[in-house]
Formats: sequence, structure tokens, C-alpha cells
Amino acid sequence: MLLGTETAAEADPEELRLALHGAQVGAWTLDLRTGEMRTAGTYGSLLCGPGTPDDFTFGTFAHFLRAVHPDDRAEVASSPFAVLAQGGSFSQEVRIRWPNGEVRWLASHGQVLVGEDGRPAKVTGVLQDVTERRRADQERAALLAAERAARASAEKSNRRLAQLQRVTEAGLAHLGVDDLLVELQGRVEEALRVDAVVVWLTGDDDRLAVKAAVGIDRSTVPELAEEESRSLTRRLSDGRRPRVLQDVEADDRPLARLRPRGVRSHAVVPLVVEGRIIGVLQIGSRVVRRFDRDELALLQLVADRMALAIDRARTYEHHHAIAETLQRSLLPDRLPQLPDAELAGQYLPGAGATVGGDWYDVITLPDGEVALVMGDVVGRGVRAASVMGQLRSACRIYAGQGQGPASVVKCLNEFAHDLGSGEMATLVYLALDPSTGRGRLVGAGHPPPLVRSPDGCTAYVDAEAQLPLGAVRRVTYVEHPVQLDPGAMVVLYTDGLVERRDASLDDGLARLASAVASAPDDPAGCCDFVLRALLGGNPAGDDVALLALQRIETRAEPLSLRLTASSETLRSLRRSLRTWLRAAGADSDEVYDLTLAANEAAANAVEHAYGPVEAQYEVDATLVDGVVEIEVRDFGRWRPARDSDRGRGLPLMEGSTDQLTIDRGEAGTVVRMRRRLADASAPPRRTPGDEP
Amino acid sequence: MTTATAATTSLSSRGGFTVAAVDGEIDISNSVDLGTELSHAVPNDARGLVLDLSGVTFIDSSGIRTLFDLAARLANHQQLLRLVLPDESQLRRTLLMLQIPAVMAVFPDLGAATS
Repeated sequence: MLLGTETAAEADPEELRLALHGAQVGAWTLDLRTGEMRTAGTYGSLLCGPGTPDDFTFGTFAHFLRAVHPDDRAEVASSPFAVLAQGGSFSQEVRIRWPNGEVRWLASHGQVLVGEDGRPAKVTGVLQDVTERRRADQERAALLAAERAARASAEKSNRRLAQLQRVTEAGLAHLGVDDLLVELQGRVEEALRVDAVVVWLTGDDDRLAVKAAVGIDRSTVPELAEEESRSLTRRLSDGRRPRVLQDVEADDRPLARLRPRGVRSHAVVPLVVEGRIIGVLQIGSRVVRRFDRDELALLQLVADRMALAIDRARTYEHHHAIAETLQRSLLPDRLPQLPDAELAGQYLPGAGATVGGDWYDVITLPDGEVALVMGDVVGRGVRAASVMGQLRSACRIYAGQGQGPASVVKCLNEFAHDLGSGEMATLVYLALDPSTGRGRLVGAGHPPPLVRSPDGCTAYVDAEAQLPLGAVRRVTYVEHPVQLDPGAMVVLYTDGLVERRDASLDDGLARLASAVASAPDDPAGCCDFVLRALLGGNPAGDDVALLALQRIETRAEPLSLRLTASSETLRSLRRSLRTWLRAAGADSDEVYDLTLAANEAAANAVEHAYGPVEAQYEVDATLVDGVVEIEVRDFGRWRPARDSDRGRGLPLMEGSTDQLTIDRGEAGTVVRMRRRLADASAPPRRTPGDEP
Repeated sequence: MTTATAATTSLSSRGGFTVAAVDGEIDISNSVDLGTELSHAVPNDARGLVLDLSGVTFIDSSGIRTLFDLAARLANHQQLLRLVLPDESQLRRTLLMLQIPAVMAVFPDLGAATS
């Protein structure tokens, strides 16, 4: 650093004076040898306030120091000497206190002047008032600090926002109220780092009761009386606006009533829906803790969100319940009893949240026929269920007027159009005379019915594909003839049963056909079996309806069968016998046992049959005064019973019947089995009563 | 058209056992074939065979005989035959009449049978 020389200050005094005044600068020179201080410019007014004469001379450095703010005095006192030690210039800002008490900031810049002897002789410097600049700097610093604080606060808000989003995300929308509360509570617990989260809901009696508790045993939460609940609710509503209240170690006595055991500090906020308090959200801490404003604000936000979600979930559950009730109410609660046919129907709601539009119906027609209806309204929810209801009613009316199947479906199609909602539906309508087995079928965009013949073979009705209801206004539907033999079963269903995301429709239809082929030989058992086989006990994604009708032979008429003595006929024998036994009023155990016994006798006949011509055997069954008698006859020459093989057949026959006689003669063997039915007084038919 | 097959079998393995689930009806038309099929389905290192009869709607004495034969064949290889039969199955009475539970263990569900 260059040191100035004493001569550097020797400028024109007047010029210097003007320059100093113009710049509002005070100048000074301290003579290091004498301690004398000379000043110029606005030095006086800078140091002692406006109005101080310019030629006011402080005389010494000590005088100058007196004007300096006491806090800065020590530093200022040392500065010229520090500079001397360093032998250079200095620059500092010092606070000056004017006689009137006002504090000003002065910037002081100084420089050491070297004498002719080469040693420091004087220090000279200038003073400037920088109060305004300092103020501006301070303001800027304050602004900067404020901005920093604001940013920090914004970041905090963002974190809060993120936490809030966690409690408001759309994924929660499909949870039921109970699941939703537990989920939200868990998130609140995490966001606010509290130990317990309790949701209280207001019941019909205004009493607040715990609906869900997380992080704490419910039994530790006190019970509130009605009056306590009302008084708390009043406090929380505070006239109009909801209030957050907190209680730290029972410093709020009334609120402390709400405190679960083990919790030392807690806060509550009302859950408000449309200005009404529906409950209270409570957070609790096991350690003493005062929740800060931010935390309470977040709690308030969470509560608002939770209230909305509860309200929405309640509405949703309400709607879902309406739709499902509507749908259930539109399904027949009892199927009609028919003299020549047995019926069973099943409806399973889908696993999804909304209900579907599947329906089935059985309508007894004026001419002794019966109409089986299976329909599926496209779409889901209350709307589909309601359209379904209207179609079902309309169908009953058209069918009841004695119109044929094609005409009924044509009218339904126009009706669907007139609903004006653009809703489409698929439908199968089968009018059938159970006494003759003759039927007429109309399919409208619906998968075809499946028929199982008495021998157990299954085939889909190969009916014409036709347009669904509501697609085109004027459609002429055609009827397809169907013949159902005695013992045969027809199965109607909706696509939920055969459609799977991971397999083609053809696969689904093949699975259904195979399931029906091996299903039990009665409609109810068949429906159960098929649902289990195709859905594996899990609810399908879509809803599923299933309807089965089996034609039965005239009840309790003696059964008389003549069958080829081969093992393939046993299955057919069992089917015929089961159908007959059910018609005779046997319960399911009796049907099974008597079928088993007759099967054993017939198996004997089959195994013993031999000879050049095709052997045959006969089975007769009669019901007399509540006793079933089954007789199995073969015509083979008598052979010694191969007891080692058939040894187990006998105990089965004996165990399954009340009375067993076996006559072996030259003409063949006759096995007679009798069993009294448990409920011989019951109507000779099982009632199809277990349908939904 | 699907013809009525008397019984179908599906095989899997669980808990060291070969699990065979049979569906349909078992009588003299298929019991011998079923026995052969099942005895071949069990590898030597399996603990044995769990025969799931939940889907069987009928079994006659020849079917029971098949079960006894199968149990005897497996026993020769120090292997077990276990049956799965739901409590509500109509087959239960038949099995009891022929003392099946004295010879092989009967479980109400697959989980219990393979544990």
C-alpha cells in the first residue's frame, strides 16, 4: 500500500472547502506529534448535528472519541494506531451519538501521512454520514431474512402440503368408511408424529363415540355422556367457525375428559360437513407436548379432508346399499313351483364396488307355460339396476298378456328405446311347457342357454344371434325351437360367469359346459357346483346370475327302466333314479343312499352279465305309502358271486336301505330294496326354497 | 357338445405330497383306470398322495376298493394316502360304512391334509 506524504494534503483550501461541503463530507487531520486535530468541511455538523459551525474545532482525538457511540468507542480509539502499526489506510463505520441523542452512522476513511523524516507524521481522513445507506442495508437484510424465512416457511408448507396430499389422495376414494378412517389416521399419525389418533363420530343422540382408534387401545378412551358431547361440540364450533382445542397435561379441564389413558397432551378438531359437526378428530401424545400453530393448522386441514371423505364414503355406502337392495328386491325371492319342473336361481354380486344390471326371472304364463328370463343391462350402479327393474316389470307385463317370445322381446326392445337413456341390455327369453318339454327361445345379444340331456351330455342351444335390446328401434326377432326331454336341464346365465380377462369366451363356454356335465343332477346342486367350479369361491369381477330348470317326470309314477348291461349305463341309471326319488319326496341323503344301493345292485348285474347276446337288466322303482321300493333284475345265468371283488357292495346296500333281499335263481338275480322316507307326509316334491 | 365324463383328475404337489383333485363320479366304469392313473402319479420321493375328493359327487364300492388298493400300494413304498373330504360331503357316510377312516386319514380340507 502506498503511503501518502504530508504534502498531498496541501491543496487549495477554498476549493477543498467547497468540495467537502458539496459532498457533505467532513475532513480531519490528526497530528501524531502534537495530538492536535484539525477539521474541515461538514465535520462539525456530522459529529454534533445540524447547525454546528463548520469551524468548530474539537481540538484533540479524545474530543472526537467522546462523540462516538459508547459501544463503538474502544474500537475507534484503537483504529488510527492500528493503522499506524500497519502503516497504511483504514476504513470503518462508526456510530456517533449527537448531543440530542440521535444516533448516526458515519463512514470514516483515513490514511497515514509520512513526514519528511520518513516516519508517520499525521493521520488524515474523511467522514461521511451513511445512516441512510445503513438503514437501507438493514432493511435489505431484514427483507432478505424475511425472504429466507418465507422460503423456509414455504418449504415447510410444501412438506405439510405433501403430508396433506397423503391424506387427500384419490386412491382413498374407494375405501369404505372404516378402512378409510384407519388409513387416514395412520397418515395423520405419521405426518404429525403423534402416538394416538382417534376419530369420534356423533351418533343420532348427539353423543360422541369412538369410531376408530389408531396407536392406542380403544378401551383407554373414555366414554362421553350426551351432555358432555354437546358441550364439547358447542365449544368446538365457536359460533360459526370450527376451532382447534388443545389440552397439555390437563390444563384444559373440560377437554381433559376426552383424554385417553396414557396420553398427556392432546388436541381435538371438529369434523365439519356443511356447517354441521359430524365428529371430532383427536391426536394425542404420550409425552408432554404443545402442538404449534402449524401442526394445529395441518390438523385442521386433515380434519376438513377427513370430514369430506367420511361424508363421501357414507353417501357412497348409502348409494351402494340402495343399488344392491334395489337389485336384490328385483330378483325373485321365490321361484314358482311347477308340477313338471324343478328350478333354482343364483345371483352373486361382483367384487367391484358398484352393482351390476344382471337379472333373472321366472314367469308363469297364462297357458301353463313358464318363461325363463335372463338379462344383463350394460353398465353398472344405481342407473343400471333401475333400468333393469323397469325392463323386468315390462317383461312381466308383456309376457302376462299372452304374447309369444318374439313379440315380448320386440316390445321390450321398443320399451328400452323409449326409456331414452341409451341403455342397452342383452336378454334370453325361453317360453317352455314343462309337461311336454317343448319351448321357444329368443336370444337378444345374450350368450346361449346350455342344455344337459338326461344322459349327461351338454350342448349350447344353437339359436340365431340377434340384436340386443335398445340397439335399433325396429327389430323383428325370431324364435328358435327347443326340446327338453324328461330329466333334462336347461341353464341360463350372464356373461360374468363365462368371461374372464385371461381367457377367451370360447374357453369360458367350454368350462361351463364341462362343469354342468359333471354337476349334481338337480338344479340347486347344479347351480352351486357350477358357481364353485367356474368362480372357485371368489366373487367374479362382474356380477353373475344363473338360472337352471330341470324337467322332471310325473311325480311318484312308478319308474321302469330296461338298460343294457354295460358299465356306461350306470350313470344314466343314477340320473334317472335321482330325478325320480326327488320327485317322490326323498331328501338329499335318501336320494344319495338309495341311488348308491341301486347302483351297487345294477353294478352286480353288469359285472355278471355275459353271453352271446347283449345282456340287459331292469330297474323298477315305486313309492307306496311313503316307502320307496327299488327292484333290480338281471337275466344272466346265475354265477357264484365274486365276493372278493364285490364284497363291499353288500354292506353298502344294507347300510343304505331298511330292507334288502337278494334272490338268485336260474333265470337271474332279483335284488329288492326298501326304505321308508323320513318325511313321507311332505309334498311329493322338494320345494325350491333356498334361492336368493 | 361336451360328453359327460365320469371323473376328471388334476394333479399338483404340496407339502411334499402329490395332490390329486378328482371331480365327478367314480363307479365301475372308471375306478380301475383312476387307481392306475393315481398310483403312477406319485413319485417315489413324495411323502405320499393326498386325494382331494371334494369335487366327487358319487363313489361306489368299486371306487372304495380303489382307495384301499391305492393305500396298500403306497404303503409298500412307505408312502401315505390321505383323503380330503368336506364335512358336508355325501360320500362321508359311504366311507364310514366301509371303515375307510380306520385305514387312511380323512381331512376336512387340503391345508390340513398337506401339513
